[in-house]
Amino acid sequence: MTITELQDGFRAKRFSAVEVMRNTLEKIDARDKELHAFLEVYAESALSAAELVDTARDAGGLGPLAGVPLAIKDNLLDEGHIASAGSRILEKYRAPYTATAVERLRRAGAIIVGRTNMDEFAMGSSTENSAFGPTRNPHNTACVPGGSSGGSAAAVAAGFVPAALGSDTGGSIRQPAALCGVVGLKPTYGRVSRYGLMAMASSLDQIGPLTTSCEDAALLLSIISGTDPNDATCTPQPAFTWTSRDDISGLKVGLPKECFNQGLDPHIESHIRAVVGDLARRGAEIVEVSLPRMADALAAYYVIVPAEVSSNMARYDGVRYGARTVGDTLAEMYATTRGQHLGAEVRRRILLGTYVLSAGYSDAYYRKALAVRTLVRRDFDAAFTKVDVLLTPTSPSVAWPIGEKFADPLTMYLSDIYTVAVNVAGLPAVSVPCGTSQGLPVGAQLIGKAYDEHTLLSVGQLVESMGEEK
Amino acid sequence: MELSDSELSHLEHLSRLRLPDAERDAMRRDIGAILHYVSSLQKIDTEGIDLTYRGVEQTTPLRIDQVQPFTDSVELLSSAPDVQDGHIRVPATLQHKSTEQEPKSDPV
Repeated sequence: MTITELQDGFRAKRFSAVEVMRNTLEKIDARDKELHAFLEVYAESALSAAELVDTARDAGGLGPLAGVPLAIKDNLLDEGHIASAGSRILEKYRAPYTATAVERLRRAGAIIVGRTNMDEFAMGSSTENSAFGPTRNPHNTACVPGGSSGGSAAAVAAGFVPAALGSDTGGSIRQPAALCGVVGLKPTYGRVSRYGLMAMASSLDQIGPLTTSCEDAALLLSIISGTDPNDATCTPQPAFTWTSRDDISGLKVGLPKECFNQGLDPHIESHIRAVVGDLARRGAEIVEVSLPRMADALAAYYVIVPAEVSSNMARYDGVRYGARTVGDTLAEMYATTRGQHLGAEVRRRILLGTYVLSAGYSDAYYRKALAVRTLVRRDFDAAFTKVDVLLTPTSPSVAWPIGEKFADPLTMYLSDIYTVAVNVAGLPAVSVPCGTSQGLPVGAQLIGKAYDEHTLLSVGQLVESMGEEK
Repeated sequence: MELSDSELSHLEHLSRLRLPDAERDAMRRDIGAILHYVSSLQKIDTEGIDLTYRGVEQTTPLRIDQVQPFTDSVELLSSAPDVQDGHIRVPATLQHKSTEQEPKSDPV
């Protein structure tokens, strides 16, 4: 059920918030032992909150999300609850304050039912890097759900909750959304306050919703977006407002030719081509464009991200919070704490980031990557002088078997080929389900101009409706 | 391209992070492979190109220069692994060795 359907049902008194919450908890109880979408479920407090909503509903004045069960990724702080980011080092860490995005959902009446599994500190594309075990794809439990917001995507795809929050640094909302067959929106950089989101790569990170419809994604974005004095990178623009647009005649949809190359699964390509045909029949004008720096964007990304990671992860040193391993000296304590309580991928990125920032190498790697970042932005700027929105696959493959890419980090990195350039350029993008291949979902990615989530979600809504008509 | 053992040790020192012994060989290989992959950037001509530090450039918003009282220090301290008298306690910054290892006095 979508959020809008839940809202209608509450309004018409077809069901109560308590009934919805009981149903949510029963579904999680029945299937999450197998899927492991959640790291923790707040059954008791969620039920009490639902009771309060039902008592208050008759008096009126409730927020737009009153009684709606939602889940949040484990790297978002929620006061009093554990926030572990899928890491041993924060296994027992309780958040002393609440992230702005989570606070805004609560203020709108949403009930947070639990925190979802993720790759440790959001570093990964399969949720296998969680220190607490992998999440399984609800469509085929032998497969990964994608990542790093794999728990949030699986929780929505399994029908546990109508929506969940994730974070996206290089595709961590869109790719798991595609692999699990749900909608995943990565808003424009700065659209949503990152206050209370554990930083991975601060110049790229953005919070966004995973939902079952573009309309719900728009609704959640309108609630969580908008300026926040606690995050200086949050745009001073007003919050997002949504009016759907179903006439796309004359809309120019660009197909970047670099996204339809040899690495793409031909079944996925045929699904994306079908979407292109449908949009053309609805009056959209299809234009081939070029993003010549698409592959270079991935290389630049895997320099910029570890560089920022090595700096952001410096705070996990066993001093102010998190686990500590005792040492004879302070330096000894830092080294053993970080070596023992951070996982392999986190260690790999810290060391790699330290390398690309170290004396003698920072010009060749880090500054070079920042210059290439400018070239990537210019590619998008040039494309958007010709078209209103870009259409690409979200992922070059459908969900793969658990373990298949785990031993080879570079192969795992390459699975982000279509999503990272969007973060490098700070743009908004959404992944929308557009069919299945071998029983596994395929996602189409729509990329928009900065702050133009409106066009993205309107076109996304049409892509959704085409799927329903078939 | 593989990272040498001494290069890896240098990175461990700079990052204040000690790898488990069993992971060192794989880490040298993996970091080498990733560096080889990202070295494709060297071929791109970026002469005269400005650097981009974040996706959407905007000026940093200003706020009123006003003191905001902060009252949660006790709660924040409760997250620290070792606290004494309202302070976070850590091991000695400098290593204390037994007396024979004390620096010798200058002969002059």
